[in-house]
Amino acid sequence: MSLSQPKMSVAELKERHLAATETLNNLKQRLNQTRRSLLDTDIAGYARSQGKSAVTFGPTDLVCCRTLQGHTGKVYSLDWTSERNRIVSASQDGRLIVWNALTRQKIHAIKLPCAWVMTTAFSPTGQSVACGGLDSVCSIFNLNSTTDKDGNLPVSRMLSGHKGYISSCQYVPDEDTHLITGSGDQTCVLWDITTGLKTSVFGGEFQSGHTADVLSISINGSNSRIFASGSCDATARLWDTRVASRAVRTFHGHEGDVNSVKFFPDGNRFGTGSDDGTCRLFDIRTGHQLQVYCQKHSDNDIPPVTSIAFSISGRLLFAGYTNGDCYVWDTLLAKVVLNLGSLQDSHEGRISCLGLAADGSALCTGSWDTNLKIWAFGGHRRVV
Amino acid sequence: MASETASSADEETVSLPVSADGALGIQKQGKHRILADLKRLEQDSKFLQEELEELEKTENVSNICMGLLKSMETKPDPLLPDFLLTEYMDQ
Repeated sequence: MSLSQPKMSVAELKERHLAATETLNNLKQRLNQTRRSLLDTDIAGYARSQGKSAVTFGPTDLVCCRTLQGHTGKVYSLDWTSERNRIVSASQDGRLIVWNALTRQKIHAIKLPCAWVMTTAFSPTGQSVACGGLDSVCSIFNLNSTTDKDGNLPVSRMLSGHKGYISSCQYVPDEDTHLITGSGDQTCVLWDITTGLKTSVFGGEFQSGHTADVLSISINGSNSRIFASGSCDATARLWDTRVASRAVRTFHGHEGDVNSVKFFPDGNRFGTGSDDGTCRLFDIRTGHQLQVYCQKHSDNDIPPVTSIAFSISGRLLFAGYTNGDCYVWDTLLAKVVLNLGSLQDSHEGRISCLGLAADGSALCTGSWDTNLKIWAFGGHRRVV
Repeated sequence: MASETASSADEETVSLPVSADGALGIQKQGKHRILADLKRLEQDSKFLQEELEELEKTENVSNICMGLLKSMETKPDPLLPDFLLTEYMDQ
């Protein structure tokens, strides 16, 4: 029976709707059951069966080696360049700061047209930065352009079109010309920065996608056509930029907002961090949830995860929490091996953002205490 | 979706001092919403059915773990205690 039959009454349509809802729910149940039957182990169980033991850190192995001070408001977002050790940070004080991570020098301090910034990103060449927030616009600044009469860097391009706040943005690797945004309007958008126009919209009113705000996106470093998104609808979704009409896959499991998604270094899995206090690792090829990372904190609480990052091998998973903890998880054994929040010189507030340097040698954390901190290995090394 | 359906039902039963044409308009609007919902439900079911068929041919987690372990162990990691400096210098 075609849906377009004009004579179908409202009552008949409602009956069809009820039946269709039941079919959908049955399919979801069958899917969950089949998936559960394939979860014969998790990563930690497998690693233990192979005799693997957890990473152990000495008391001075991972240390805070730099504190970047200068913001006068909460830090919300940060991003490293792909070379040259520079970091861009965004703060509630309405500024982006570009830092030299080695010398702590402020290279640029960019006053934003809208102070309510939530996300920032460095372009692959390091020549531009992007930011977005409650103004629903993604603004691009060319760091080589001349400042105006007030000494401010002008906006070189504005990407307008989202109907909600911009929660996250990332340049497509190896291209300064395209970036992807995630938004409170429940969509992700791929932009052509040269024209300022949308290339593709993922989700939204007429397409299958997230059913609540998108909070985070991460582009696959091994295949830049693939990206993941995390949302207030408690799911993460995988997208192929060539197919905007529907997500490649939807990942269920979390019981709260998915605040952070990050691709695993090998490009075949991604991690998530959520309001439910857990991090999870998902396999993109099969859709399996490979591991849950959950531990009560010192006050017996399970605070929300705000942001995550993997070390360059993926063996370590860094997770920032709302209570100021920054757990270092052994990804393989699912154990907390260190808490950066309990070390000397740790932050005095919520960790809001994390990022790993391109060569994997350092981690940067940003906090509501207005500072950024750089963490690196400070222990003894074997030299062969 | 359920709330949209409920709001369509409300449109059907609310008594308003409207003309006959106005009442017909409200009824058509409710019908369109249900049709749009139905279309989306059927599309989502189709996607889930495809996923189910794919899942029935998918390997289990233990098979995937082997690949993951290998991936972690082949890449030198400067933040790990057992990282060898010569590996870093060779990069």
